[in-house]
Amino acid sequence: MKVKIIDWHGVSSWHWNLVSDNQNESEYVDELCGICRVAFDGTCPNCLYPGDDCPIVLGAGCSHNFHLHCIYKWLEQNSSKGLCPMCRQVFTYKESYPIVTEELTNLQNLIQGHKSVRESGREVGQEADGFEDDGDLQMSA
Amino acid sequence: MTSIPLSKEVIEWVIPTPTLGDLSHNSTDIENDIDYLLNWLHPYFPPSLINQQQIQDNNWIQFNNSSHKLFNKVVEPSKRVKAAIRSCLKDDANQLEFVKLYNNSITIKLNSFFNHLTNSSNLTFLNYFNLIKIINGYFNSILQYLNMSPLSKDLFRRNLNSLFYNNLIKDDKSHFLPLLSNYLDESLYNGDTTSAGTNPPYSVASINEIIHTLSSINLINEVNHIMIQLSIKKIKLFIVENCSKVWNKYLLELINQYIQHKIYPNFLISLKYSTINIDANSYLYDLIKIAHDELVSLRIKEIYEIILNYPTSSIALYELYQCFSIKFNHSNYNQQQHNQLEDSNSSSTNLINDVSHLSNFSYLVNFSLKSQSYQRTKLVENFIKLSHEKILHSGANTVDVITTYIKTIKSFLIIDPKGVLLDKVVRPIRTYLKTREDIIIKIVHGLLEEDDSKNDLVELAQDLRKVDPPNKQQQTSIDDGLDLNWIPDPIDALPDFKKAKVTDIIESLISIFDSNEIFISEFTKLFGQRLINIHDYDVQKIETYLDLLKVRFGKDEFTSLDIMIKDIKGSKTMNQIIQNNMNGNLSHFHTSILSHLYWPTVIENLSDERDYFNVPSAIEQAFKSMSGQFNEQKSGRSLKFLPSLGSVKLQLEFKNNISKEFEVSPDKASIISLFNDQNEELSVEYISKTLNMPTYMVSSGLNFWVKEGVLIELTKSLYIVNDDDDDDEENNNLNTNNDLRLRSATTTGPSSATSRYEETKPFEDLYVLWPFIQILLENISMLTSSKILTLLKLRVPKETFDVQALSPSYFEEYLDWLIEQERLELQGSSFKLKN
Repeated sequence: MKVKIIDWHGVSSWHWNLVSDNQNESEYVDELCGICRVAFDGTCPNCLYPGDDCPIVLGAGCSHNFHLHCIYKWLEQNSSKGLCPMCRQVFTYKESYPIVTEELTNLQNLIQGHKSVRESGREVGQEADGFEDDGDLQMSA
Repeated sequence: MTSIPLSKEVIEWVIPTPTLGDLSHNSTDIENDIDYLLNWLHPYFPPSLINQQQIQDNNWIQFNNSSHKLFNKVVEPSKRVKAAIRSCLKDDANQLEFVKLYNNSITIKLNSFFNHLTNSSNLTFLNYFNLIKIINGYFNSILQYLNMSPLSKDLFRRNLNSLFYNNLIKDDKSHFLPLLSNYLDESLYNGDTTSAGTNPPYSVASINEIIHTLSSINLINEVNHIMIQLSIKKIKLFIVENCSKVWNKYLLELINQYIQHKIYPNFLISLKYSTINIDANSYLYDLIKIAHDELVSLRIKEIYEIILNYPTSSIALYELYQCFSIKFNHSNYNQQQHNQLEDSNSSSTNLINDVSHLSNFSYLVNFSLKSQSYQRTKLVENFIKLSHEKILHSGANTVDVITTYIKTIKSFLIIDPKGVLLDKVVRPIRTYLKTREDIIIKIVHGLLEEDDSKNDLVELAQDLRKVDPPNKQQQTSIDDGLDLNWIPDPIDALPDFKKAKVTDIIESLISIFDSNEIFISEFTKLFGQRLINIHDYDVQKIETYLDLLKVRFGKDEFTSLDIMIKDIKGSKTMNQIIQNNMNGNLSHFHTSILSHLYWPTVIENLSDERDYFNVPSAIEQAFKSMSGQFNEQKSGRSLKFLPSLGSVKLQLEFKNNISKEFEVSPDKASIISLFNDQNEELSVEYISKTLNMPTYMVSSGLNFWVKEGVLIELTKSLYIVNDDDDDDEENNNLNTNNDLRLRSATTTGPSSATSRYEETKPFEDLYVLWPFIQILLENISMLTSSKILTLLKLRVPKETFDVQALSPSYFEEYLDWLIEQERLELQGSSFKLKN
């Protein structure tokens, strides 16, 4: 007997690749956004649809990830000083997206803005933080 | 005369009442005149009746027949008498004195006459009537000749009337009233009903005459009373006979016709003589109103059945509405009557019972005015009581309760479009429904079932699909103070009355529960299942439903469902993109891509054990490449396969070129895929291991294929493809093969055993025993070969392997082989599992 599969309608679910270091895609970590406390595969509080409409940002300087909208809102505040809300390191993100969306550009601009503020502050004579140096280096890289 | 305040009796005992006879003792100028007058007046009673006074009871018929003779007018008085009358009754004072005395004489005579009459029973009404006529006629003609002033005449008449009244009505022994009532009943109604063409035994003329006579002796009130009672009785009878359980015909018109043509004309006869001066038509309305009340009380008793019979009974319901909404145009009713009514309302259900003891028309009128609200209350009470008895108990089916609920809503909206009654009626049902656990599922399935013929709650689905659903905007109540179109709630509504809440069926069912969430989650569950099972990614139908639901439940309640639908739509595009990129290499595989957080009912139930089995490698490859493609399309994201979900279309090609197509679940597809190009039988255990699937799932999958005729069950755990035309032969061959092999094993010596040894798969036939041996040794760590064999005989089912037929030596060889395979260990003469 021959078994011929004519049509296999499978079902699968998508997940953000959070632990990109070990590249084990099947391993799925159910992590929450540090800001809105909603799972990454869900949406930030202002979004209706998960996935494309509410992407996430992986921290490069630190290991913290956020919904793009969440971290954007945080960085928009001057008091954030461009730091990660979790660990207070300078926040940068991994540019894992081949397509740079408008939102991502905005985020980049914000981070740049914070960076220049920090730098001008240091020029005035403020003590430079070691961590911030690292952050700057990564940014320019 | 003395004015000592003594009772009348005492005075009469001392001084007998003066009569006309006393006049003759007065020696005055007019003595002669008085003599003449007295002679003429004597015996102060119709002479013809005096003769009859002695007749026996049985002679009354005869009396009746000859009665015309008795109607002889009083002999016209001679001129002398007339002169005497003139002289005696010159002035008012004389006349009054005369009337007083004359009355007294008549009283004695009449009283004794009626006394005699009432003692002898068996008098028909006509006997009575003739007597009255004779007496009345006699005195009337006397009165005519006496030529007295109106005042005296009136006095005389009143006295005479009161005599009639006392003797005919007041006297307990008198049968007059019942006789009158019977007579009227028979003559007015029975005559009509039996034969319309022929003249009734008593013509209307005679009835007219009777009533005329009775009214002339001032008994019209009694007649009216009887007429009212009779009419009511007739109406009641008519309604009970014609309306009971008749719910699909218009009856009000019939009733009105009946009253107008049968009851009212008769009613008018007595009415003509009535002194009350009201527009006669108003009585017609009153009669109709009484009939309506009677119909309503009947319907109140039947209400539960009527509602169960909706929509067949909608005409009855509509007429009930008409009865409730007709406003009779009576303006004169005040607080006092209001109070009276409340007293009479408090006791009985049947309004007509209350009405029938009323003789007063105006009272009746007011009664009907107030009774509507009373009837409404009664209707509600009775329905609640009945529904508690019939449906609101644990024995009732939830669907039945919901159906009754829906019918109740629809029916009561007919009875009372404002929804006030409905609001009161549904409260107990709602409270009850809240306690039923399965109601939500029933409602949701009722709403969304696409096949009406399978739907027990079709009304819900139809209601949902209605083109013009109630406007949600209106339901979310604007503050009453700001609403320009605000209308006050109906006067008898309960404080928390909300029309929309009860009048719309779906809204009404939904609002039983305080929160929509239960419904939303149930919808999500149902739609989740449907979406998963959609293979062409066409979500239009579900979107339509979702839009309909959004109208009812609010737009923002269905985020999860919105995402689900978007997922499926997105999957369609994604599949197309990937398909294009792969140049059709993946044509046999496609996948729905879910946002796993939003498919709780689908994904959360998956268990590692059951749902993550291995699919055929081709499919796994297909998924891998698809996943890779997905990764390229949506960077940063990856796919996770959920093997147990979805469905598979298969084509099975048998050796004889017959091919069958199947659409099955993935687990079954995976199982049958293992038999692809497989001529050997496969064991459950093998399949379970290969697919990483629990054995019971494998077994049930295999059973499915056996039932489909694709596989054959060799033993409990061995299956083979049914690849031949002749099933039985194939089956037998296999069995005999097996037997032969076994037999040869038992009979052949060690030499042949060694030859087996050299086979590529030695002891293949004994494979099935291994799990049993394993279990035995796991439990009893060490056993000798004979012990193992004995235990196996007990443990292994005959269908799996016939251990009885197995030779001990062959078995020992097998054990030795197992040691060589490093599965067993020998300790002394006992075997144990190799660690």
